[in-house]
Amino acid sequence: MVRDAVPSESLEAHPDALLIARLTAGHAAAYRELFRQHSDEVYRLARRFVTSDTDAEEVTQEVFIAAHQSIGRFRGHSRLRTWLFRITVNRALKHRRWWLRRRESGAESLTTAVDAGVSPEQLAHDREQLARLRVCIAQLEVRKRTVLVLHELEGLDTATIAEVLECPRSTVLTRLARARADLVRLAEQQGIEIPSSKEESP
Amino acid sequence: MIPDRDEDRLRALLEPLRDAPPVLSEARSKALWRSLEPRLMPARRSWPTSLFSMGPIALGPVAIAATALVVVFGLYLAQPEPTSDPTWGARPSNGSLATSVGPVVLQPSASVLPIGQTVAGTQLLPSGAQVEVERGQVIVAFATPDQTRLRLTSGRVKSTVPKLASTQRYEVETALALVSVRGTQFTVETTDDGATLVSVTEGTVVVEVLAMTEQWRVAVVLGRGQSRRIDACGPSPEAAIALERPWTCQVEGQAALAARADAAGQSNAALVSRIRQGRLLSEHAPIEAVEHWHTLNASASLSTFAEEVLFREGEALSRLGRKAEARQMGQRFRATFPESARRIETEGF
Repeated sequence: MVRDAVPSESLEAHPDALLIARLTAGHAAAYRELFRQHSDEVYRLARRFVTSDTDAEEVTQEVFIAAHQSIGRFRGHSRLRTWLFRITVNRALKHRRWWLRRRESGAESLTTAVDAGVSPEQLAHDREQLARLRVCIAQLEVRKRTVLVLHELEGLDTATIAEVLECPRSTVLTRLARARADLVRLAEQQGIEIPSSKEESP
Repeated sequence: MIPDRDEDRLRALLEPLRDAPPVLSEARSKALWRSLEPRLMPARRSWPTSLFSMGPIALGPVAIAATALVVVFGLYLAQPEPTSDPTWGARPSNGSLATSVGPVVLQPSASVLPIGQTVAGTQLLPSGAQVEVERGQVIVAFATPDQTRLRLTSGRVKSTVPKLASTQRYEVETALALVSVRGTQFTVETTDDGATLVSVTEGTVVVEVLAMTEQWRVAVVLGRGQSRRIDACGPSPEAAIALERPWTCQVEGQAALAARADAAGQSNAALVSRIRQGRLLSEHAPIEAVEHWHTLNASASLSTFAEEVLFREGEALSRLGRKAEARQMGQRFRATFPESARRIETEGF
């Protein structure tokens, strides 16, 4: 378990203290404010893990309901945003596990691309290489993929990711390095052209 | 581990994905919130309910006022229905209402009314509440057997609400106020000059003033025969609504308080928060008791913060002429913060 940057004793100095207080008091306006502030990024993060816009919306709803149900247990050990990200990752991965079980049981008939977590709509609209890149990311082992998405796509620093995933920062760094290596390997297997680094550019 | 150069290449590879993130459209976001909002309501704790979570000493006059309200409400439930206004007919019993009230025939409503539906005339809602739109427009924010919220955009609406279970809510919202009910008869009206007028005929209602920023709300309880006008908040609102008598709070163990100035820098509401048994509780407080608190340094340590809370409260009580309570607060301050006990003599109350 990671030690949070904000000790629980100083909740009054917590950057989100007022909003937390109002959420805990059950004020509807506070939940509206929470949704207004964070729904976009919760949705965006959820969408990185699930296979359709609809699923991402479903996960987004689940996240705010879960936040509502568990705000009383929120100790202020992290920013609200980080806490919501933690819920989002857990819910999205749970949703994906459900989806995979459903697929294995034959309840879904899917194309190869969808197997990899990319919807047909996305494939149709994306450029081919981008779609193949998404397939590669989706093929990464889930823990590596989670770290890669949070860092490379969502721009979270490794300390924040450690808070989100409740694991040591060193673990995050290890997973990130392995995720990058795996992704490069998968991309090469897929024949994806990897851009040259700056040093190599003419 | 891949070399830094490959890391750069990977970043370049991922750039298109990073630069074109999935976007939740505004329309979808609104739709999501509309379906989410009623699901967030049932567990919501209301202002008067949370008052009772305070310690018995801390409750002080609030306990008396709240008890009085409960007694009044109980008497209301026990007494026969008023017959002076035949339009309103009988309050529902056994979960059903008479299908005819005076000259108006009530239409049986569905178990859930569609969001956005306009309510016209007199209507029986899924919760069993009877609503009469006297003029203007009322829209359903949501109306299920447990949760009702109506939006009065303009005009006047009268509600008769049967006794609600603890999980049930009935609310009427205007641009300025959110009126919550615990089984009562009341009217909400918007005036031509933009104010909202709430009048309670029976029972009690809680009126929350929707402040400009939504960061703060002031709440008051209105009893039978009381009415309150809520004016629009100007750039320097002071208090949009006259506050009831202040209540006191007690700092016990781990406690914290937050007060907030409005956008213009003047306090018009305050929130007292305390951590009790590992749970953060929050209450609204009248500004008379906390007018200086917003000057507290938000980064102060918890003990500094709690000390300041207790001191300021004692000071406020003293200023309000509530000497006995101020003395009691002083004693508590000395006991809790013996090292700062001299403050009472040198600075304060």
